[in-house]
Amino acid sequence: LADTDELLMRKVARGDLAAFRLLMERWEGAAKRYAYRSFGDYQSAEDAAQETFIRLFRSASRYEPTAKFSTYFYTVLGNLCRDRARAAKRRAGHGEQVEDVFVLDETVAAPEGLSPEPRVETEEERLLVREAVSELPEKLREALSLREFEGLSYLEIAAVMQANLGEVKTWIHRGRKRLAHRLRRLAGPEERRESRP
Amino acid sequence: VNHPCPRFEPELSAYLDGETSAALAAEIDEHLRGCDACRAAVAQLRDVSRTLRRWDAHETRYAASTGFRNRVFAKVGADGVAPRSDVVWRIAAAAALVAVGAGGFALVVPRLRPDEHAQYEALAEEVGALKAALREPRAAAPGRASDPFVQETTPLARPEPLGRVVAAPDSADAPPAPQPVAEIWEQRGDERFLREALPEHDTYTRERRILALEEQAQKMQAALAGKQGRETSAPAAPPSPLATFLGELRVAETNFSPYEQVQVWPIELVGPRSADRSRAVPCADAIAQEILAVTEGASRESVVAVNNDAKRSVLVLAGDVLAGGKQDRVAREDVLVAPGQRLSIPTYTCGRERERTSYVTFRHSDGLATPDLRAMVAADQALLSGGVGQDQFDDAVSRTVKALASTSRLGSLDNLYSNPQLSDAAERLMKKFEKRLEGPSVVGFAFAAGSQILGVDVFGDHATFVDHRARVLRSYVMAAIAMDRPEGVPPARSVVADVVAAAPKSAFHADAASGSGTLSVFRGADGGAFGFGILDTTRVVHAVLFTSVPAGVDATAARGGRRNPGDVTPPLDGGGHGSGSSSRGNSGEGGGVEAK
Repeated sequence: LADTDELLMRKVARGDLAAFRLLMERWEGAAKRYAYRSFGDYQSAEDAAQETFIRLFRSASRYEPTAKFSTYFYTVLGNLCRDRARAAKRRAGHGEQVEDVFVLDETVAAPEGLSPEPRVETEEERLLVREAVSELPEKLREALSLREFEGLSYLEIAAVMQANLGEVKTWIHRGRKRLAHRLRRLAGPEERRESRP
Repeated sequence: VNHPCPRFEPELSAYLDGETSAALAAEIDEHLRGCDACRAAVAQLRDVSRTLRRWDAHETRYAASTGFRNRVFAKVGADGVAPRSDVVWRIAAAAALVAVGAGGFALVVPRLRPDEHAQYEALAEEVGALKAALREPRAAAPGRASDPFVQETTPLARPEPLGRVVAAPDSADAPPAPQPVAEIWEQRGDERFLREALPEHDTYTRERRILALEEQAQKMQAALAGKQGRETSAPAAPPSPLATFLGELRVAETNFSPYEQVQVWPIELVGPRSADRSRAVPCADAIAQEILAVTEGASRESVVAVNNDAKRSVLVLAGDVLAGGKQDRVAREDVLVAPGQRLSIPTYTCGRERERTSYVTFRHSDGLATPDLRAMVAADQALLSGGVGQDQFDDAVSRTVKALASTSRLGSLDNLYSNPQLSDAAERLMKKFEKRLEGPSVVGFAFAAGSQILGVDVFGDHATFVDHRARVLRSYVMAAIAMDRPEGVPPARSVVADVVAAAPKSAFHADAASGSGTLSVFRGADGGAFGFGILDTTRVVHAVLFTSVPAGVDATAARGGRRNPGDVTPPLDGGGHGSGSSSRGNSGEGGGVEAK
């Protein structure tokens, strides 16, 4: 039977390197994907993923298996990515940006009929989604990412983001609505599927 | 324009995610039945959700890599190198040391006991020689006796007694890039790369070099130790395990009637059966689950595959379509990739080159090429001729693509599997046939469209078959659809039974290593039927039989062993893109290579 992540983490705390390797094998992809979504470039994603595992290793002895490992993992990873993104922003001279999470709210207008499902088949369409996602305010993007891409429950997301359930619910909902607004262009006729490169 | 009701609107995402209370969910259910605006809003939210997930699957498929883990271990100051075969690892480490000079990257030097230093130094020297050999194509041939590499290794020849990080200034340690850059291109040699893809490209280039070194080292070892081994693999072999396996196959006693002139017969395995457990993860699943990482190889003729799983083998079938990289590929032979193994897989390209991209990763594998193409690849690689070659394969691909999807001018086989109309047609046929193939002793099937038997595909046991069933069946169904109205009526069961019964009486040829498995090929006594099987030691994992040589394949050409038995693994060329894989015996220029 495979060890659970929580058990592996306890073994890591006792200095079990094989357990650490196994843990990395399991979570490396998730770490890089998450970080890539935060930064949008491979190098920074790789760096952040690496740093996350180093922090996990060093903090293993402090890890209490009361929460799920995934929650702990995304907390460490999320903090790191946020810190780095802010540092990068400061370096780029933008200064701290006030988040507009609670300011903007487009109401979703219902289309006349059911629109065809949006497509993400071509490079162009993927670029559009990428842009739309990267333009989301940080909290919206993070909550939505954890939900859609990592499959976390609202409760887990709240733990990771150190927020309450109501906030998580709002962020996810607003994130989806904004994207719906941005991605309306994607909904196209069926033939577009053929134009995949 | 209708707006969703303010009372429910804020709850709709949570409702979609199953994150509302049961009472509220019931209330919303009830409300949606009567409210068009809210229903549309839910549909829209669901679309966003789906779009995101699909986009993500395309966008951020990262392969796990040992390079990454080693870098983390280096930083935490631990020697976490996986217990590989000792010598191979040391060679890799030495090769990595060597590469530091040129590429500059970090790697953990394995702990060495004092008495291992001499051994290590000898190894470093060996790698130096290997690297010199690797450079040979570029260097002028006469001057190679003097080793130009010695100077480069000297500063690194003596490692510290304990594990120590050897880190050249590593770009991975630099702080994150200050701003997201749009599209910045950089020139590397004679190719242009997107800057953000460069690190990935460099890593893969380095890994490929090390792989080439490893393989050369293995070959050297084989050359040293394996002179007697060569004699044991002489033609006068005991009965092939593949022949024995084929002898235990029976066409099931059924009376299914054909459907739209297509007929599928279940094939059962009789006689003593080994434990029924799945032997290998199908290529597509392995890529989707990030068990198998596939990247561009040294040339268009191969890809590099790494099995990142600790336990499961991966089976790549001849004909598996690998989508991604600069150009989609089709695997040219069955390859069994053992846990942790990294190797090269021979391929043809099967799609248009992606311009302005520097992708090196193959992100998914939707399908398996149709049986005519698989037969072509099999004939090419296995035993019949010097190879159909890329051009002829391209023609065959475009014929198939044209027959199946006239609207598509893109030429990649991958498009066939993402075409919704085709998929629907295929699903409909598959539903008819899949039910027949469920019996516990069924390990494969024979497939006929019209009067033509397209092929017989069998696996080592039922569990392995079940894993691969849908994919393999779909490839046949696609072929049947491409034939539009197949001519003639499907043959009787007895005809198929004869074909299967004749298989073990074929001429079996010298086995060759393919990944961790062994590829065994055969040709029917009458010269028409042929096929191959991939074996895990002596156990058959997958075998396929085609009843006739595909049109265009020169069946009269050499039919010797498919490659030099001394070639333990398909070697990789250490050069850059397009340098060509010079070491593959029959990749297009010559005839089947006879054993020396």
